[in-house]
Amino acid sequence: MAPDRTPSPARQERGAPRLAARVIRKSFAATRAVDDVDLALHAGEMLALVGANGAGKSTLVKIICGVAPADSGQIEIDGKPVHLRSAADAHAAGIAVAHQQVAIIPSLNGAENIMLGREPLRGGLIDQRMLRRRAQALADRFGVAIDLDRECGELSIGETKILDILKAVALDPAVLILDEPTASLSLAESRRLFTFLADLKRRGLAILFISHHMNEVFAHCDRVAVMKDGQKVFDGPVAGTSPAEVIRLMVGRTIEDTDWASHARAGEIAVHLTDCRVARLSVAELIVRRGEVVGLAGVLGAGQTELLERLAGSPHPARAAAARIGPLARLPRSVDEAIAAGIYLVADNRVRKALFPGLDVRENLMTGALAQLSRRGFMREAEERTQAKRVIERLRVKCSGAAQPVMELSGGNQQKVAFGRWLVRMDKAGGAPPVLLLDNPTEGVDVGAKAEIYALIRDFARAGAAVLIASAEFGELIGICDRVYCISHDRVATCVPRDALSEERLLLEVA
Amino acid sequence: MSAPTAAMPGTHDRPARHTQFLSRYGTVLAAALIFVGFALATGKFVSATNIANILVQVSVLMVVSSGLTIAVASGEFDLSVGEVASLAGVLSAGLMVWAGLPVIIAILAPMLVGLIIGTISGLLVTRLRIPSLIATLAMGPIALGINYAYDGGDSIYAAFPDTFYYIATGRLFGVVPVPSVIALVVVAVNYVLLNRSRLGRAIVATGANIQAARLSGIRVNRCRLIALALSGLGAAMGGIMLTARLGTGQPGAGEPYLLDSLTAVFLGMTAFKPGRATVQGTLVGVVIIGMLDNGLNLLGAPFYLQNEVRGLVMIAAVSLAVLRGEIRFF
Repeated sequence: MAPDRTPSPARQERGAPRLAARVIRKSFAATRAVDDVDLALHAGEMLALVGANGAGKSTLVKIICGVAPADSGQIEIDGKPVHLRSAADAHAAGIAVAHQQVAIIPSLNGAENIMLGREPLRGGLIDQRMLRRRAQALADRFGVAIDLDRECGELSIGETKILDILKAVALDPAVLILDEPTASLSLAESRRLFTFLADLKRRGLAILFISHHMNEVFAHCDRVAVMKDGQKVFDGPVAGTSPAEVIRLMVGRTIEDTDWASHARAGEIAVHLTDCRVARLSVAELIVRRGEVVGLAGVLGAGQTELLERLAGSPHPARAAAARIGPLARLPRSVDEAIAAGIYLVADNRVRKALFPGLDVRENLMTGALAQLSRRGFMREAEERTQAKRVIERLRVKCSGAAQPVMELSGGNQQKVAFGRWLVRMDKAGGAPPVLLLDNPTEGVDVGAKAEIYALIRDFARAGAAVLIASAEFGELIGICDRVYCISHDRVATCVPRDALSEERLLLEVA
Repeated sequence: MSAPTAAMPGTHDRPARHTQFLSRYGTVLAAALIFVGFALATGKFVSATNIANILVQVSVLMVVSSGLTIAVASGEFDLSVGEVASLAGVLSAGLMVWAGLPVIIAILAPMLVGLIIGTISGLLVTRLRIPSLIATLAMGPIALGINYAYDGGDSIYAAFPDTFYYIATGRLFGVVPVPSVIALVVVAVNYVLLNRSRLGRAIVATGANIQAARLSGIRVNRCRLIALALSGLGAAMGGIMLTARLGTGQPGAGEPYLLDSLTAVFLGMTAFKPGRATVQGTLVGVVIIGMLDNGLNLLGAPFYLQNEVRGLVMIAAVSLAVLRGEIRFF
């Protein structure tokens, strides 16, 4: 579609900005996540906020949304300072947010969803007709033609996204914040969303648009602000810059690779997929050799999680013309089978998928090897203790002891425990080097622990393991991978060899 | 997930040592305070006969609650324990009185029935994917229907063989009440199951985080099924013990045990390992309920006060645990 870059009259007048953030600062321990950042957003303007993961943009957005307090600085709406102590404060001040995950309840219809929490009452009961009328009026005002009587569970993801935004703008906010609005949308749905956003903009709304997609930023936004290492390093009209320039600003430095050497064993293919499809992700060909660390680059939710989980035996719908994983000549039928074949998954979102809150470190470590650590149905305590001690020492897990509840550990140490579970299993299983599937293994892990996890991954590769790692942090893929497959538009498309790896290249490939 | 589980705090700030101690042993402390309170209020409370009395009184509840503890540990609820206990109780009486079967059959057959009902609940949960809260809620009336069909809704009055009464009134070595011995054996077996066995570990992992358990290669559905089956077994055992104690097979005898055992398990979840259903915790819960019933009785409190107090204790215990973020419901 044609880019909508015509500045609205409101913007040309340049009165007080609808949203102004002044000298915002926020530190976590020793790191300054947001370092004296100024940001202004005018009526009828769409500002893109971009930055690599960890650049501080989500912290800044959290401050503007009232979710996290700033250490210092001030937020103004229409020139008046506001104090945001909660999301409700921000909402009341005229800051509306549409989060990446839609807040739409599938069992309610469109009208009920839009009016959720603001239902008109009559005699203490919800006035269904008035509710319907107000919702329709809102939809008409913003030119939305979705049937509001249909249950939202029947609508497409794109339609629910539009309803979610409609719900956010229902109270006439000064500013609308959109966090990765196209993350789960198809191309056609994204187009429809942008038409809708252009409409909102024309009506004088100020929009803060957070995205990883350079093409969206340059096609639809008026201005772009780039964050890096907590600072705003660029702020200007998109017309005055280019995607490559913005990416260069985002990345800044090149990542130094010290003593990196490939351990790939030629000819020893451990994972080989041909014409494979898992959920909505298609893979033409994917190969991982023994000793190789292969990356999967894609924006969050591009299907890499489902692919890795399917390779580890989870029942996601899949078909493959040909598949080989470790000793198996097909996709594993169950998690049991995969683990028995030496295919281990360290899942993303460890708290939800890899750890057992409420259990202690030792109990967590043993969960992957209950059969190996028991005899005639009884757990072998002495063996458990030895294993726990060994893994805690080997991975340098910082804990008060094996009996400490796992949720008391820091993110990095929790992640080490998630890894450690398979170390226990491998130790007991022996046999051929394993296939390791790692899904975003350094999410929420501090820098020191990250380095240790990278070293661990390289160690595994040197010992002959085949490693497939998905990450949204491209810097780390560049640091540890032999090759990186890039996911774009539901396809594992190109494979970038190590000597051609750069964040610029990966960001362009996954767009 | 239907049963309450340990909370998943996003932060990992470590509680101060004394709060940690309180959160682990607060419930035990409360039990001790209740004991001391009643001991001061009435001299009869601490007598050997009365303590033996309490131990006998709580043994049925302990056996029923042990089974429920396993179900809750696996992340499931079992709301059919009361009806299953009733059914097992009348079956046991009927098999002896009407069918004239030997005592051992009259004990084992109802246990088998409890196990089967629990297994059916487990199949409903794992195969038909009905939440256990609903599946066991439905199995309750089904068990009650079988109960009424068997006895026509009437109690089974008749003398049982003497050996049967032994499980209620017998004394091991002439001193230790047999029902308490049974309860302690059940607690011990449960403790070993949940803490020392591979199956128990898998059950606890399933209850703590079913998705992670599945991705660990644990057969989570098998765990949930077995846990619910064991819950049915525990309820049936309690029902049989109850019939022996009452001396009659009463169709509604097991009913109060649902709420009591749930209270005991929830109280237990606030002790030792906050947020986890453990059999040692449940034991503390059962003892608290037993002391409250007995103590209030001795003080001559009106009968309804026992229920009020029990409800308040449950609210206090669970709300404390929820406020401290140890338990998370749904």
